[in-house]
Amino acid sequence: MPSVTRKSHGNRAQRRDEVRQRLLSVVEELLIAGESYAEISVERLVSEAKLSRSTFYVYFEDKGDLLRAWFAQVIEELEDAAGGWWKLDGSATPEDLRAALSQIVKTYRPHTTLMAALYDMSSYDSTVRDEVTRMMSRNAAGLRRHIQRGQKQGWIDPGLLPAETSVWLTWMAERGQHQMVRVADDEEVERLIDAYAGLVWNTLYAFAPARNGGRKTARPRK
Amino acid sequence: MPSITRNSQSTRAQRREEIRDRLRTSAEQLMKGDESYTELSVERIVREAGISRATFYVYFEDKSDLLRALAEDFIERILVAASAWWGLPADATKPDLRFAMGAIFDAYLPHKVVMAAVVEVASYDAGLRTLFGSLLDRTISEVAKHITLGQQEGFIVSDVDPERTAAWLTWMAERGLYQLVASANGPALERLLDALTDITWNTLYEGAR
Repeated sequence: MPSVTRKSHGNRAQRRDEVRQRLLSVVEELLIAGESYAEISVERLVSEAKLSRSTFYVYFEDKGDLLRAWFAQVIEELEDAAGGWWKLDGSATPEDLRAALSQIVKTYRPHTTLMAALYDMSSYDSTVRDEVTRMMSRNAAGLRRHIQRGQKQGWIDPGLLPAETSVWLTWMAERGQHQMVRVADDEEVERLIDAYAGLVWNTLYAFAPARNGGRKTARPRK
Repeated sequence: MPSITRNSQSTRAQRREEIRDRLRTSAEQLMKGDESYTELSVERIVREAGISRATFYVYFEDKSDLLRALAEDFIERILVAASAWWGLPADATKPDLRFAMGAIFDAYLPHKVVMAAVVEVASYDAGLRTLFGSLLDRTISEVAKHITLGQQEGFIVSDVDPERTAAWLTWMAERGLYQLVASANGPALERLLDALTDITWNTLYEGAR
């Protein structure tokens, strides 16, 4: 009967999520303790998570599969957060930009440990590498469209190359999260966001024609 | 006699440098031939360098130690190239900045395999990770010094946080060189250089012009 099938599918998906959550908490603990994802065995994972080895393989093909399942979910969260930046327009103030970027940083922040494991994995696992690349391209494309729209409407510096500026800024955000935000305390995160927002504001918006008449009169010369 | 001792010491030191150089060059050469550093054996490296396996271990603890030496050389070259940026005078123009950034690209590209190996090995070698982190910190502090100086002299906008802006810019450059510049050439490379110049120029200098 169809309804029964659906129900059992639902249960399986739910169970898979539970198992994944339990395994990932273990992974996070081990990573924080300084181990690398490459070195952690499935045996070790299941024993720490108090699961059987066979349970693991019911839900996941291998260790990589576990991380990939998690990544798919994080990508969605991050894209939602990034949408808050990309929808800004000519009326946005530096404070609006800071709020939007802060939202992105804070969405990413709880995931930095696992994200680091994912990046490590991408250096030797081509499937993971492709997925990371796809995520970066999607993020860069979102930013590129934002820049193009802003240039057309006059609130982003018309001299910038939209595609190339987007890729640099996208990698900056990724690397900054990974290298700085990951190890920063709450207060430091705020200061990092200040600097990040200042950099993006100056790069894209500060010298646009629609703001203070653009380049020439953007700021008085000291 | 003291002079003889000094002499033979300096010859030994010279020879030591020579062999270290030869091993570094050989390893880099093999990496350019598309071999991943993890798969590259000490055997292959010594054969390429024309020295014995035993000699290798006189100069380097192991293969990771050799990669650490390569990484240090690499960052040193980038720092030398990047000093053209940090040395820009107060009246520098955007084309001057672009020229300085271009020098960084030029220092990076011939040795991009070293960077790729560092990224690969750092995923499982904590020592290398630490070394690379400290080299990056040095770069960040140089950029921060430049920003502070520019703010004092009025050629960099006063409202950017020197230390953290330097860190964002440096990490952007580090990852962009590896992910974007390393695989680009011709007009695509020029456009990446334009964009990096514009981002840096708008962030630091434009508002002070």
